[in-house]
Amino acid sequence: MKTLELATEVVVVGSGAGGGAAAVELVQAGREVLILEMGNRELPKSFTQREEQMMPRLFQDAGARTTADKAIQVLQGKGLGGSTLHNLNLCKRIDPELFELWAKTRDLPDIGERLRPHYDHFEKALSIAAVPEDRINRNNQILRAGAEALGWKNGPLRHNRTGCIGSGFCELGCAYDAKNNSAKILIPAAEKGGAKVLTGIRVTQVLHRFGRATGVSGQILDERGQVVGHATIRAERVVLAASATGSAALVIASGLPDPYRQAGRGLTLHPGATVGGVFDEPVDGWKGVPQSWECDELLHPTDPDRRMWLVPVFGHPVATAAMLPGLGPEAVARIGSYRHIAAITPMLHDSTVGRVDARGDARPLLHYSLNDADRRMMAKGVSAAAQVLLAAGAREVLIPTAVPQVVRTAKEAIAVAQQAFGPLDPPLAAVHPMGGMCMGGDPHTSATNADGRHHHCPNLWIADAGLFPTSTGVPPQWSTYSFGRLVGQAAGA
Amino acid sequence: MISRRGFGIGLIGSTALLGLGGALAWVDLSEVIEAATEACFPPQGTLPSAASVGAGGRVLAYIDELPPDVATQAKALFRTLEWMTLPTHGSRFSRLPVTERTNALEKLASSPWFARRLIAHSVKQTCAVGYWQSELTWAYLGYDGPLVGRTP
Repeated sequence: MKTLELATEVVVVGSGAGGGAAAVELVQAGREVLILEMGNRELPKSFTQREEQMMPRLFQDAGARTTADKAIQVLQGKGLGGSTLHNLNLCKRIDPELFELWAKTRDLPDIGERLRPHYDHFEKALSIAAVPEDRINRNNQILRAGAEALGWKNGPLRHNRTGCIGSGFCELGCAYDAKNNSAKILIPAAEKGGAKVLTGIRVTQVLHRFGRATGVSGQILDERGQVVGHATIRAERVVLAASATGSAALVIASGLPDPYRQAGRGLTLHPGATVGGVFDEPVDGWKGVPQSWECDELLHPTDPDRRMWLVPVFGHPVATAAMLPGLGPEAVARIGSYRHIAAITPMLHDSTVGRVDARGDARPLLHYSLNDADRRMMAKGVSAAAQVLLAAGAREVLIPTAVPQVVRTAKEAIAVAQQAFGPLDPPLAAVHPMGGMCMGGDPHTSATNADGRHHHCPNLWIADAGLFPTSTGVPPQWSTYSFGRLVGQAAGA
Repeated sequence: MISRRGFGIGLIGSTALLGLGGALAWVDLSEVIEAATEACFPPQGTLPSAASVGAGGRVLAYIDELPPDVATQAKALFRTLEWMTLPTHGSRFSRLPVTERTNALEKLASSPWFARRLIAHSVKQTCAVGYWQSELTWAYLGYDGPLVGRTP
């Protein structure tokens, strides 16, 4: 077994949006920085666009992570660049109304104003812009047409991509290096500023003594993720950017001071179902930019009755076969309509609050089970997605409940909203874990302060979506970059 | 103090139980996975059989990529599936005709009990990985495969 012992001024655990953004600020502040990443340094040219090969390379637990009850699949990235390697590049700011709510209820005065310059910074640095009209693929045009037919609010989405050829393989990593992500923009900038990067290091402990972090330790992994050694990194400051679930699990597994038991609390996921519509004409939904249009008719940052966001979704063969409802000849017949299927995911701006715990090996264990209000909201969202697809001309819509349903009329689609949903009925997936190390002014109700610093360990910061005190209702990428930059500046001071 | 006789009976009983457990645990996982794949996605038209695309081996290769605890659960899932039809259908899952296998999975999938739905859901998800990754299945979908190598 290998042994590695190093010392640095600041160690950053995780290289995704938050870790990359924090690392750049830390080197600009003149700090000696070491970035640790559990995955490999993945080169875009090596991306094969094959699900069975890319899932183990770019997703933690090879994409098989679920909530503790196994009812919700939770997809989280790995590899230098973290989840920014596989995400779909959606960029939305958190709504000012939600910031106002956080200011009032979480004792975070001016949080929106404090983040504004960071959002502005990344808007330029990552070239965030609306997807050009000629890049809106048929799957997205269907959402747009359906929403407009219903008179529902809809519009284009903004992305951080340059040089996109519209291959549609974004979720398996961009082989064309068109994502302006942490791997392409931030990590190189940090390295240029002097930061060192070590990949294949899975941190399992934050070392601490007398209430101060003294470094981290963990496993050295080979390219296939097998443990081949042990690493110890001594550091004067520690920044955890290991994701909303990973950072909280690390804090818990390390036994850091937590007198009010706030570590791990506040987990939200943005779970979503998949609703498919079958059209007479080919949709070829896997081709082109996957998510370029949204329908936010049913989404409001703080209204408890409007918490569903509708966006197109599509998968390659494995993912599609897994998400389409049914078994046997019926399922095979449905998959046979692959070219003719358009799909929408109703994504929940969740009021359910779960909890992160740590397994023995410091991997996260996610306790999260939808509350009744969210189950009702999910039924409403599935119903809305079905209505949009029918309004766009679908001849039938597949509702992925435990007993699969096919709806063909608006009346049938509307009735779905009254159904009682339960675990795996329908199956849900989540790609936006948030919370776990929530930011707030009161140590009794939050784990970190308004700068992302741990309330009880003054040289430990969190720089990822774990800081979000509630669900945001928008994709977390842009906010994670912005929070990461804010924290990086605080940790570097 | 345990008597010699008691110790002997206990030893024989334990050995028998271990033997029974071992017999139940031993199954050809590849065979069970392919039987499950065929039940989830029975070949139609141009679709190849699960065995001809090597679905069992492909799923086992995927399971090898999972964390050890998850991999153990995945293997236990198929072992459980193999034996759970014995009391209801009088046969191991992989020995049933394909329509009965599909029916058995559909019953699980539509069960009011979450644990039963979870088995069907997990089996389908895992089998999808093994079967639909094969290029031999893509023509049926009209899917033209990866672009790398075909694009500048």
